[in-house]
Amino acid sequence: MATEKPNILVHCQKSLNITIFDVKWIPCSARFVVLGNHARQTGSLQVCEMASSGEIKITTEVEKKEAFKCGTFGASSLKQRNFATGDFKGNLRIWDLEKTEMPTYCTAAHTEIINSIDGVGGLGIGEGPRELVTGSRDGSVKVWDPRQKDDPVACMKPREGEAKRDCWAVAFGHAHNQMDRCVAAGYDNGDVKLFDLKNMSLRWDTNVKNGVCGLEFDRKDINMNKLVITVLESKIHVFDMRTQHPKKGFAKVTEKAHDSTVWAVRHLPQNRDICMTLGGNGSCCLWKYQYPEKRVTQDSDDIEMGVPGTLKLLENIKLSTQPINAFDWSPDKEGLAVCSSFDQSVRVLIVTKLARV
Amino acid sequence: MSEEKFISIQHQIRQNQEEVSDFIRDLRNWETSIKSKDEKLRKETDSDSEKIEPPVRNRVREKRMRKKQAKQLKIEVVESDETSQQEQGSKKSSRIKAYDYRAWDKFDVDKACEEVDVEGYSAGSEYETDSDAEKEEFERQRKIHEANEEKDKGNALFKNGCYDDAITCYTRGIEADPSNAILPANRAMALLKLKRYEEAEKDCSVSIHLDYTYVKAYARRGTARIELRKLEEAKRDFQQVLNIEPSNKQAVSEIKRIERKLKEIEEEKERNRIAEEERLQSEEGIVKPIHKPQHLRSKKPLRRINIEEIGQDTCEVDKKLASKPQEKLEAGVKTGNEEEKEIILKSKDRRREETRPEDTHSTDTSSVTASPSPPSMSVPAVPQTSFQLVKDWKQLHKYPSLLYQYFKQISPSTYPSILQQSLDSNLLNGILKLIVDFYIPSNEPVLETLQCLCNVKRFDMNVMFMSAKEKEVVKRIFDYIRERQETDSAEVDKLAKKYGL
Repeated sequence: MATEKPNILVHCQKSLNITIFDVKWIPCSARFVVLGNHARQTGSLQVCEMASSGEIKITTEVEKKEAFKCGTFGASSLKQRNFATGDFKGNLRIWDLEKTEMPTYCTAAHTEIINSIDGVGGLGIGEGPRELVTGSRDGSVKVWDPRQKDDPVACMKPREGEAKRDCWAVAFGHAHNQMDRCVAAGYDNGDVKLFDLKNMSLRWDTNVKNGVCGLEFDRKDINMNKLVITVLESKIHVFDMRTQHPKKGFAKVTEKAHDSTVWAVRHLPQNRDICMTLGGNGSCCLWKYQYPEKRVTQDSDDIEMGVPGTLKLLENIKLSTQPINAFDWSPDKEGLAVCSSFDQSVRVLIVTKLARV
Repeated sequence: MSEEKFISIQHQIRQNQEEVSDFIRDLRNWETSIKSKDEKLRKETDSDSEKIEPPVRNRVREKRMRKKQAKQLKIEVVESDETSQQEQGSKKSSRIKAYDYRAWDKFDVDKACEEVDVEGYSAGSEYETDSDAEKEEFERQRKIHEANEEKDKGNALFKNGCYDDAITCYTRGIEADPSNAILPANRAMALLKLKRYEEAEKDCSVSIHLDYTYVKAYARRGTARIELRKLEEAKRDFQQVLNIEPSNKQAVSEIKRIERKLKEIEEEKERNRIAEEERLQSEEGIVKPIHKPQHLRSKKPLRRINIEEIGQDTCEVDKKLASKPQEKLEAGVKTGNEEEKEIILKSKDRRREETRPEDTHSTDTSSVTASPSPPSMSVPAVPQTSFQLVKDWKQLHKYPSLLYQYFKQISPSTYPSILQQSLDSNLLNGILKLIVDFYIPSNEPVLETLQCLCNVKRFDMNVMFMSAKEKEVVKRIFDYIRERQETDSAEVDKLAKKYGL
């Protein structure tokens, strides 16, 4: 039994001189991008490489005027590997990492900090156009097409007069054909909204009581399967997105972990039922979602409703005294991951035996 | 037990270590392979073999919520394609209903229009990856969309009275979508407003050609043709409107109007013909002023000419003129002709010139020319149509006594049939004033006149708009009626009520 349990190990670690907000593997490489800000409030973008000696080597380091908050390769082709970033001033920029002097795309997307960004359609993940979604403190969620300058292709914001909630997390999903696409957005008051981009409508919304720090679909490019939401107050909610009941919505399972804020969740690219959650206490938890025997059941009126499964904790490791705020699985090597913490260091992790879970 | 457990733990640790070292070895291999792959990717300057991408989201979609709302207040003349609008409307509203966050609320119309304009340039690159058929379809939809945008813009401008700008918009729309029947019809409406009737007619014809059931195009062409005096064709247009839409009130009234006009034209022609004949007949009787130098003039003593008097009103003038025997009178007098009067005045001027050297009665003559001479005209015949009446009225209204004579010869019972719908406040008040100024002083019965006047169309409306001063006039008339006691007071009261008292 015990031998089948995956192991999480720190492969290498590097301290940087910046506050790190996001970290992302460059697709098809052993390199990753680190985003953050310097103590003087300027933005820093660094490209690090795993050296053969088992060290982390900084290959590129650029300083920009605005502090970077988040970034994604999700809307870039595998060949270009352009990196989209959101910063503290609300600017959306796309960078060619080989020529970082000027962004290839630049727009003032929001009036306040972009908290979260996600991309779809690029890297061979997701059908349909390559699009980015940004969520900001100004309360709006905007969808961007890099081919269209300045104007978002869709904008979801509160009605005039309604309170603007700080949008903390956004994620694409349901991009399983040319037309269908959904955006999930989590807000500081615990609201979760699911926008249908095909119909330009609000498909579903709920409240999970605590501010939503992170959310992610288990896969972006399939018919919606699971949505994992992590919140303040150490909770993880997993919604089964396959069956929507007209009244009850989606079935969910809730799990308690980390004893602190759960910062984010990242699904293993090679197995959609395994995910890592990041704790405010500096720990990482590896979970496996176990489906129920029957995912669909009928309620008293014979209307289909979903049945939640269970979350099984596979492994848990404490890496730092500071919160782990960003994490990224390598898309190319199963079990390889990078994470960043507010202790200003990046760690490359290896997780063994994932294939046999 | 403990030993067994110890062994198993030891085994586990060893296994784990093996696992990890395996993984790390594997990782090394992976690192080298991925690095070479990475390097290859970095060096490649690519983007020629891009994957086929769908178009930018929400580009072709209409973003016209605001416009829709504004259009509900639209003036009635420029209507846009109702069916297509309804389609869009229902599509839009169903979408909005489910949607808390109004995504397109921020897209204002102008911006959307601009976008459409920009699209015109970028469309080529936008859809280049689509198949040809798809591309064509997109292009076609975009064009239709653009045309609709232009139409809406044009309608808004039209509503604001910027007809020239509206025409520009419609023209752009027509260029974008030449198959749209509404655009030329709307442009025609704007052209009508600018009194460019020929172009309007042409546009309407285009519109009808595109959609032969488009009622408004027929109606507008009819209007244009009325203005172009193509009455017969205009009538045909309105009849076509009635064929398509039998309940169209505008068409009915327009046809009536055209028929009336046609009749009037006929009459006018007749009158002109008669006038021409008269002119030709009387030509010989007119003596034109001639000027001869003094030395060429006849040395014979002047002879007195007997002047024939025509019409009772002209006698005054004639008498005056006739009372000056020492003047050479070289003018003839004919009835009711403007030219004539001029001749008279001219001859008078000449007379003054001639009389000056002699210096006789110069003051007398000048006084004659200075005072406005009453018209040398007879009272026209009883009118048969409202047009005639209005025309005569206009001619006579400066001379109330003539007007009185003229009006009195019209039998009150024929008022409704003569006046038809042309009773306006000026005419009504004129009649009432006539009654006060002439009927009453001469102590004539007025009750019948008033009663019949009530039956004329549009009488009630005109009464409604009477001013206080005009009401005063009416009151005086009724005081007079009550004094005379022609009928019982109840009937008079009833009549008074009709006159708004």
